[in-house]
This record gives sequence, C-alpha cells and structure tokens, in this order.
Amino acid sequence: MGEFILRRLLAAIPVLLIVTLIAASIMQLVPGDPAAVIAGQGASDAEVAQVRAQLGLDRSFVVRLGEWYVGLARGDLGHSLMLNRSVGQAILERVPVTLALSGVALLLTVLIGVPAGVLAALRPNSWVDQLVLTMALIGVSVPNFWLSLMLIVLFGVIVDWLPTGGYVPFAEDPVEWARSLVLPSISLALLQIGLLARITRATMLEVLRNDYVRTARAKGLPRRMVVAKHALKNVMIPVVTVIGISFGLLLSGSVVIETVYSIPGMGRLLATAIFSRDYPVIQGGLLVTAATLVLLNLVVDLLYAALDPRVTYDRR
Amino acid sequence: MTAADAAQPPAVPAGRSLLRRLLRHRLFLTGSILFGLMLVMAVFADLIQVAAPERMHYRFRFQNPSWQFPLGTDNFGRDLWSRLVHGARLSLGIGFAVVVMTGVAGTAIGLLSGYFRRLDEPLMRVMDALMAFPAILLAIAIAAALGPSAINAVIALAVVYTPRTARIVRSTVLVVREMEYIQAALAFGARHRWIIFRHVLPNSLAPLIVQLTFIFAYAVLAESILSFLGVGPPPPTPTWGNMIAEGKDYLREAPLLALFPGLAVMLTALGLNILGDGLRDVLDPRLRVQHD
Amino acid sequence: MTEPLLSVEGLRVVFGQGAREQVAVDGVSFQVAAGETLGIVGESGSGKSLTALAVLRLVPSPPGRIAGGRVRFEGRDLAGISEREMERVRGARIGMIFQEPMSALNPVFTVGEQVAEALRVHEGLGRREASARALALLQRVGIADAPRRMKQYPHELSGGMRQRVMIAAALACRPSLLIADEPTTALDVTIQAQILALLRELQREMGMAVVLITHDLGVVAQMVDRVVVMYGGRVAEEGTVEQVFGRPSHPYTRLLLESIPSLDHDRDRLPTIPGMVPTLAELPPGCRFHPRCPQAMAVCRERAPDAVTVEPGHRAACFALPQIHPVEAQSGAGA
Repeated sequence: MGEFILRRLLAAIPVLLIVTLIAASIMQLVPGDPAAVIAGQGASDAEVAQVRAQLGLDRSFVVRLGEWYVGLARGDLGHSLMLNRSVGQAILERVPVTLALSGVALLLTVLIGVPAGVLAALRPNSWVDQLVLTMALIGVSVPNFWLSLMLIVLFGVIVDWLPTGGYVPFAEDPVEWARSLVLPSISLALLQIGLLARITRATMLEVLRNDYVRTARAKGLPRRMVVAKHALKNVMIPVVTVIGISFGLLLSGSVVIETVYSIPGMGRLLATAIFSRDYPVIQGGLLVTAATLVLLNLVVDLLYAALDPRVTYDRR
Repeated sequence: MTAADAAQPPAVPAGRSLLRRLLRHRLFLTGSILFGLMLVMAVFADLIQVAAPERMHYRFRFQNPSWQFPLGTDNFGRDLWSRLVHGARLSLGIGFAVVVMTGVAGTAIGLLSGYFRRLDEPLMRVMDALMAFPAILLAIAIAAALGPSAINAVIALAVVYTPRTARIVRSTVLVVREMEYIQAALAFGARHRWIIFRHVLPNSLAPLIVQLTFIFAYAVLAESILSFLGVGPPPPTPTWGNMIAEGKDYLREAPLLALFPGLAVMLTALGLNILGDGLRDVLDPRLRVQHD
Repeated sequence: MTEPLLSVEGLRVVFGQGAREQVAVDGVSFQVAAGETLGIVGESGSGKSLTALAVLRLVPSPPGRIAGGRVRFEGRDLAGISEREMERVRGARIGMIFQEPMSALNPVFTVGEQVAEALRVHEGLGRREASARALALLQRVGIADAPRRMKQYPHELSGGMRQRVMIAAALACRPSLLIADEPTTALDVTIQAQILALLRELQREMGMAVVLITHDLGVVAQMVDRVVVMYGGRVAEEGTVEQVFGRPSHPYTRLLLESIPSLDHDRDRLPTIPGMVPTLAELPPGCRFHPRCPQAMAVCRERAPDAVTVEPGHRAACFALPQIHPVEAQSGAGA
C-alpha cells in the first residue's frame, strides 16, 4: 500500500515537472517588454526598471527558470508584486476559503447527484429520469458566472433572502458563514449535479444487468437491498473517479464564482492577479492548483483501489 | 436464449443514407435547429441589426423592449438586440476558429504520437501536463499574458483543448496499427502516408467530429468567461461575455441586460451539446452513453 | 398420490409488446416431486433457462414478462403471491445456482458475506451467527481452509471453488428445491464430476428436490430421475431417463441421442443436428421442429402437436407417433 502510493507519486513527477515549466513560461508569452506591460502605461522608466529587476527579467529565461526551481525546492514561490507578501503566504491565506466553498459544493453535488442518478436508473423515462438528463445537458451549457448573476437577481434582489456577496469566516459567525456560502455553492454545484447523476444513472443501468444482481435476487434479498448494497457498491467504483473529476471542475469553477460573489479565495486571488499582472502570483497559483489536481487524482486512484478488491497494489 | 437476444432492435436497413439517419434522429435535429438559428443570427447580423452595435443613444438609456429597440437598450443607450446578433458573430467565429485550430493541431500531435513511438512518451506527458491544469484557469492565464484580443482568446482556448483531440487521434492510430491487415501491409512495404490517409484518418473522423462539436460548445462557454473576466476581446466589442459583465453592474435596475446575452450563450452551447449527442449516437455508437 | 412439490402448468414467457411480441416459453408444463431430480434438456434458445427463471419470477422485465400459466410450489401459486412473499420463497424455499460462478458472484463482497447474507435476511441471524453458519456451510461444500477463504473475494478463488460457494449460498437456508442452471458447463471435466457428486450428496443429505437444467445429456443420464426435453420454447418429450433415453419417441430426442457418439466422450460438445436452432424471431409456425425434422408431414407446418402418452409417465408432442391418434389422446385426456 505504502509502496503503491510512493510509486504513483513518482509517476506524477514528470507531469508535475512539465506543469511547473508551463506555469513558469506563462510570462514568456507576454508580447514586447513584459516589464513595461506589467508596470502599466504611463510608468516611468525607473518604475519599469524596478519591475524588471524584481521579476528578474533582466536575466535570461533559463537563469530565471533555474531560480524558480531553486525557490520551489525551498517551498518559495516568489514575492507578489502587489500584495506586499510572499506568494506562498497569499495562497495559504486563501486556500481554506476555496476549500470550504468547493467542499460544500461537492457535498451538494454528491448528496443530490448520486441518489438522483440511482432513482433515474431504477425508473427509466420517469420524471426523475427526464430531469436528470435535462440537468446534465444544462450543466454543460450554462456559463456558471451567468447562473450566479441570475441567482443573485432572484434570491438577493427579488426575494432578498440571502447575501449576494462577501464572505464571513466560520470562526467569526457560523450562521453567517453558512448563509454566505449558500448561493455560491449552489451556483457551483447546480451544473455538476446533472452530470454526476447522468453518469451514475448510466453506470447503474449497466451494473443492474450483471449476473450477480440476479443472484442476489435469487437469494431472496429485497429489491431495495439489492440496489443499495450489491449494485451501489459496484456503481460507486467508477463514480468515485467521476466525483474526483467533479471536484477538480468545482475548484476551477470557483475562480469565476469567487469573483462574482467577492469571496476572498484562491480563485479571486488569481483573477485579481491576472488583472493587475501580478505574474508571480499567477504562476504560483497555477502551479498550486495543478499540483492539487494531480494529487487529487492520486487520492481518487487510491479510493478506487480501496473500493475494488480486484485492484492489486502490487502491479500497475 | 437470453433476454438480450429478444430485445435486440432490428438492424438498420442497409443503404439508408447517413443524412437520412441523421435527419430522423431527434437529438440531432433539435440541436441543429438551435445551433442553426444562432448561425443565421451570426451570418446575417448586419441585416437583422436595428442599429450599429456600438452606437450610443444617450437619450434612450435603459429602455425596455420596444419596437425601436427589440430587447431594450443598455447603460449607454446601445441597442441590445443589435449587440446580441453581433455577439453571435464573434462567439461563433471564435468557437469555429478554436475548432479548426484544435482539429489540426490535435490531429498532427495525435499522428506523431501514435506513429513514432519515440515521440509518444514526451508528447503525451506534455498533453497530460496541459490537462492537469483546470482548463478555464489555464486559458485565462494564457489569454491574460498574450493580451486581451479575439485572436489571443482563440490561441488560449486552442492550447487548452488540443490535448483532448490529440488523444483521440492517437488512440485510433494505436488501434489501427495493431490491425492484422495493416501489419501485413506494412510487412509488404506499404507507405505510411497510405495508412494515415486511408485508415487512420477515416477511422478517427467520427470520434473527432463528435469531440470537436463538444469543443465548439466549450469554446463558446469559455470565451464568455474570458470576456467576462476582461481577458477576451476588450469592450466595447459586443461579445456576450462583455455584455454580461456590463450588465452585472445594473442587476437591480436592468436585469435584462445580463439575462439576454447569457441566454444566448446557453442556447448556443445547448444546441451544440445536443447536436454532439446526436452525432455521437449516429456516427459513433460505441461511445454512446446508456441513453435508451 | 400426494401433491408434487412443484407443478408448472401452461407457463408462457413473452418478450416485447404488441405486434413485436415474441413467445419464448410456450405452454410449458412439468412436475417435480419432493426429493426428486428432474432434468430439463435443450439446446440454447430452447427456453429452458427462462423457464427456471420464471419459476422464481426473475425473468428480466422489461423486456420479458410471464404472460400466463401457474406455478404451484408447496401448495401455493407463486404467480399470485406478492413480491414480498416471493422474496421469502427465493433463497429460503427455492435455491438457485447459475452457469457462470464468476459473474454470478458479486466481485466486491467477500464470499463469506455472500453466503451469510441469505441467512441474515431469511433467518434474521446476527452478523456473527450468520458468519459462523457460513463457515460451516463452506466447509460442508468442500472448501479447504474455509476460515481464510471466507474473507477472500470471488476473483481470488478457482472456478470450482466459486461454484461451491454458489452452492453454499443457495443451500444456506435448506431449501426444499434447488434449481441448477447449467451448473457445470463453465468448469473443467474433473471439477464437473466433483461438483455433480457434491450436489448428489447434498441432495440426499437435505432431502431436497433438484431441477437440473443442462444441454449435457451425459450429466442428465447420471444425475436425474426424470427428464423434460425442450425445443423452441415447448416441451417435446417427457419421461423417466430410461423411457426417454431408451425409447425416444420424439424425432428431436432421437436425433439428439444419435448425435452423441458416446455418452462418455466429448461431453462438452453440443450434439449437432442438421439445421440451426431458430431464434425467437424466426420460430416457425406449427411444430417448432418441423424445418429440421426428417419425418415432417404437412400437418406439422400448420398446427402444433399436443402431447400424447406413449406409455405411463412418458409423453411426447409429435404427429408422427403411430400408437395414438390426436383425437383419441384428446378424448383420453377428457375422460
């Protein structure tokens, strides 16, 4: 088991190396003199020179890449141009907020999506089934920031039940914390629920055709137990992978959602950094996000292995 | 004797043309109509506009829908309908450019990767790394670095979606090259070009078309996000994302400003997604999600 | 004579709806006495497995459904009881084992759990008690090192062991009837013999009846008391093994028997008869067998033959049977 994790971590290293390379190269894409662009129009030559020195743009890309890796090795992601603190510090401050938001959204997605998918599979062509298929289609067709705006209009402006922006830390006021997360997490989850439900439905339909389901029925188990025990555990094996993907999508969706709802998380940090051309923060944020997703995949693989006894840790 | 034998649907009569099968398919038809409407809007934007999209009627700000302004006007007194149809032109144009670039780049990388074993490992690692980033986040970062413009948005989105098409082409190559008659043909000195054009590409076509339809939908959605965040074509360009961003400040007074362009994005993406589902059912039944 | 344990009368199973309806089991009747072994023989497509599933009301539905007939078991008509009552029959009074022990066992639960759960459901045993009983059962069906095996998953067991597990699970609640659908088809010849011997042993010990469904005439000859031969969803011939194998009356049975060179060899191979087994969609009118029958007559194309009694306990459905005319058979049945 430990060896399995180690091997998977080692396998992730080449991908992570390229990920860091891509993140570091982003600034190379800036056309013309990046320092001038970053310093902004109307900056004096001295200011441009200062930015250039701060970003190391007066040295070659290879040298800067080397420094970036040396920094990484020490856990140093560089210093923000705007925030007057290190990138790592800025990210660490924001991570809990984003985790809370996407965690609540994931909870909603799984708690609604999986049962809805199971129900839809048990009653093909029923209203639940139709709803699941419709929601899945809408889920891949609606821009989440627009959905958020419409929810704000509906619940914040027309009926005025919920806060339409801002974030209250849990430690400060748990009730307000929950209230401030309602609309953002629904905005995030609404589009994922249908997708997860649709995949759960398809998997369940397939599992129900298996011989072992018939065996379980032949043993006299009640239909509900056959579905909830024998079928569901087999359904969850592939669905766990999908939940992992969902979580990744929720994390990246939060970039936009946090901007719309003014929630001070990773997403908003990145969006602000992009606006203010704070490249160290952009690079660091990209890297941390991608690394999180790579690790998430690893966790999903482990869960998969834990659920499916046929997967052995010994071989790939 | 099994239930499956009995439940087998009758085979499709041979000779029925692909087009007829497509037209009989309800999903395909619905998606085509939705997408077709948007396409008509985009193509004939100049004809169906009621005013130039940038023209500001200062005396008519925040108008409700009327004969003069079919969907009303925005905070600058610009006609919303006219901006919307020009937005369709931009959105579909950007989406189509992304599809072409992704298709070409993905096919090239997929062929190289599937064909030359030495290139496979490095190319696929790079594709994996690109896919490790959340798609939209990477697109935002690239677009922001390149600077806000339509072309840069296309480049950013194409970079993000190319790994998906590359994987499809690569896997077809891997399947085709293991086929016995290809192995035999290779042994008899068949040329690679023959294999690529006669076997690999035709076999990749169906899944590729399906995937590109979905990428078109993603691209339209993603472009609206880029514009909304200010890294797409800059205002006053009437992209749907820009229009929603502008409408965001007037949600209380004029919620319609944000409503209509969002609906346009949704209907376009919905049409393309339904179209893609239909195409997948008809062209590539192996990929079919259990759908009944 | 006392009432038989299981009595199936005029069972019909159909697939599809309306104009596309296809009859897969067409008026099948047979009886099983307590403690007896009945063999149901037929090629694949003959409807033998569906008949068995129909007894337990497990026909996949949709698209299939039981369209008619009665299934009397232990004095009740199983077609008429509620689903909940049916659940109390399945696994408790009637056990069933299937052909593919790999796919018939759930891959994500331990075999011990899969044996124990029937006991928990039907006898309300707690986890520990059920587990102890499951262990004893696994030992009884001949699984070596049962305490360790119990905690393993199906893929860690050999095919023969998996079938033993299936048997243990099916017999956990000591049912009075076991339906075995091709229980040895997927196994090696030596393992086949062991499993059959085990079944016979357990049958004697528990005094249960067995319905053995197979295409393997060799298995039938050594295992069963009476045999039902099915073709195209109908019963072609029925009688004791001596009657049916010694004096086959239906042309289909004769061809089946002639097509095996020796009962001891080549038991795996399906006997071959000229022509193809018809699929459901292409079942011919009249006698289902007439396209392949060497003795087919004009009437065979038009009507389905009724079963006629050849000798006491031995019946066959064929117009070519010389002894008794259909008219007499009908009046005989009426008297």
